[in-house]
Amino acid sequence: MVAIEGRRRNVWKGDWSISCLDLHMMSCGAACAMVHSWLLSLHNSVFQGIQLPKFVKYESLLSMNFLLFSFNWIKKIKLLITVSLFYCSILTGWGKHSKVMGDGTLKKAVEALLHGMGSPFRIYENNLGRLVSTGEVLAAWLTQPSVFNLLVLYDVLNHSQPAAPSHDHPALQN
Amino acid sequence: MLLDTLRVFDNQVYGVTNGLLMGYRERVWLRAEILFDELMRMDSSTSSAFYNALTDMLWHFGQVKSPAIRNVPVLLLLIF
Repeated sequence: MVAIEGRRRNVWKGDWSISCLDLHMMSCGAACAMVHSWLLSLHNSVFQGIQLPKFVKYESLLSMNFLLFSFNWIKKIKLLITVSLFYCSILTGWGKHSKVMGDGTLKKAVEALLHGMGSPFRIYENNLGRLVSTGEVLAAWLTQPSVFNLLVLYDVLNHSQPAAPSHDHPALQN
Repeated sequence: MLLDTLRVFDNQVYGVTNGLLMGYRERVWLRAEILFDELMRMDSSTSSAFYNALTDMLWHFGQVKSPAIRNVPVLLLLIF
């Protein structure tokens, strides 16, 4: 709830949308809690029939941009379009402030969390600080019966009424 | 020990943190919101540093992912 409150008050100022979760500036605990919260929102979106970003073959992208293929920077823009339109992404940063370059604790913690859940997120080959999954594969994973229980967080000690799991995780729109 | 130090330093923050960690969310949430309101008046890096520290503490000591994960040691004991 504290992480959700922080997001509601825009403390971290990172992207939070159906296609992207930006975890820059967060501690490991905040980032992990946020991953749970974001995936629960996506879970609600999927069950409300909202489509996650769909993957389109690269050839069709080329035909969309056929006038622009000869420049290097255009290729970079195309890559960015591919990532932002056709993948669900989690940005951790690649750990450039770590003692060992690319070995960030946040990146490792989020990667371990997602791997432990059996989620389909994988490191994107063109950006080590980005974990991606296609919308279709992610939606299929989210609709598995056991996944919802993996995503909901519980207090170890609890003397309060449990908050409704979906109450703080409104569905994300396209 | 960390919480005791915090108590000396700032009783309001201690009260909220201790309440959240001990599972008295309903009881302390109003006080937590007052604290969060005060934080919004500070600069953004102080505010995000506070949320980072608090969520880190709650993540490591206060929350579990799911009953399934919490019961893993029990399941392992049953298996072996």
